[in-house]
Amino acid sequence: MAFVASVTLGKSPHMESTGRLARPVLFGKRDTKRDSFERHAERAFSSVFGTALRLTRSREEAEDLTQEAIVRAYEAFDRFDGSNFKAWILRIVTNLYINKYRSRQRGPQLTSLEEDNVIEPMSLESEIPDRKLFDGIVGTEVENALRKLPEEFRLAVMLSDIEEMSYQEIAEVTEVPIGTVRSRIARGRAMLRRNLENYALKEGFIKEGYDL
Amino acid sequence: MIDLSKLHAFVDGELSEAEQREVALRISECKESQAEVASIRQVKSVLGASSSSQCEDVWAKCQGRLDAIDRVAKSGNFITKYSWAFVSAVALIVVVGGGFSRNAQATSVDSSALAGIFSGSGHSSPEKASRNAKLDQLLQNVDQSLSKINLIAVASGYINGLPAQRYDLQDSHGRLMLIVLPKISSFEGMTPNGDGKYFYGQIEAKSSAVGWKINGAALILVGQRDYAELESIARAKFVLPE
Repeated sequence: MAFVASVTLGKSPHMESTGRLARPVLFGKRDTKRDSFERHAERAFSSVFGTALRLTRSREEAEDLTQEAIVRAYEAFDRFDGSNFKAWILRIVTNLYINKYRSRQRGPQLTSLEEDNVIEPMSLESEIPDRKLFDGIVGTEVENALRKLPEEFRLAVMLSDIEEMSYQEIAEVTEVPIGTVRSRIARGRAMLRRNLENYALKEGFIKEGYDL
Repeated sequence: MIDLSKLHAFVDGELSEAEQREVALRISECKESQAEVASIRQVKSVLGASSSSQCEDVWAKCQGRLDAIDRVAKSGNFITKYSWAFVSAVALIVVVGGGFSRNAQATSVDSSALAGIFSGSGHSSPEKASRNAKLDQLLQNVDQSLSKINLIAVASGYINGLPAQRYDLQDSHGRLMLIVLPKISSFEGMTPNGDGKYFYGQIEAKSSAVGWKINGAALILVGQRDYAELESIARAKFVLPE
């Protein structure tokens, strides 16, 4: 005896009268969480990527770090208190960087600088006056000088002067007291200026014994 | 000269109103402090003018990662939420005839009879050895195919006296469910695709099913994907239809 067997699945609401199947709408309706997250994340994204790039000093690693931070932030978005998304996500970026990426980094690391709490003046002992130095400096040279700073100072300076964050916000991102932020910014800027000056002298576009 | 960190904080506007006024007054009386403030402002200015890197492509990649998370979450929710409801809602009816050893009244199976299979709580197959050779071969092929997809869970049991197997699967886009029903010769309520070898059916609003037949058994792949994607997975990962 032949088998008479069938499986019936419910009629498709997407079936057209021609018998052709309409493409079902999958995931057409976004949830509020995704929309809300994207609104925040898109506004802060250049800061996220810029910070990742300046921390890792490698575009490839910065892309990885950025993607990972975005994923982590999305997964933790329910715990975001709604106050300052940029500070919140940059803290995720810096924590991820410290925990996962820093060990791979080459270049200057913070050693005993934190204990040596002397802030150098920027102008007083300078061999080159500001107007001479900054007239000859271009963006890539500034970025290179920034890259050479130990990361704690680099992070404090870039959050302050590139991301325009307050000391309080920087303290939240870097999880250090405001006094430490203040010190790092002052010392970081002084180091940066010294780096720029050394670069200018080395490259010869400003000569020692310049004519004022 | 004024304390240097205070000068930096002054330029950054981080002092209290009273301190700002006091420091401003002292700066006006100290040329060294004036020069330092000018230097600080220059450094801030060149840093502030740093160009931001192009990152539109990175944002697009991030959105792709978020899509993947959403898909997994929604598929997971679907499997969890609708594992039972799926059975009752889709009115999966198996009608068997002929000389199969079955219970005399069992010409159809209602959703409650299927629930054990799909919830994984049904009685497991007590006599695997009693499966016929074709079914064993079929399930072996399925098992081999599954090595290419993450297998989350397997539930086996009987639907109206017929052995059946459910596989909960996961690939990079989320969860899937494969149902293997032997002794099924045709699909009803499903529309054949172009070559008539795969059959499409809709399960609730978001989930689709693609069925095909091998060795007289029906395989049904269910997931929150469109038909083309499910068929593509079926073609790539499982034994092809007869």
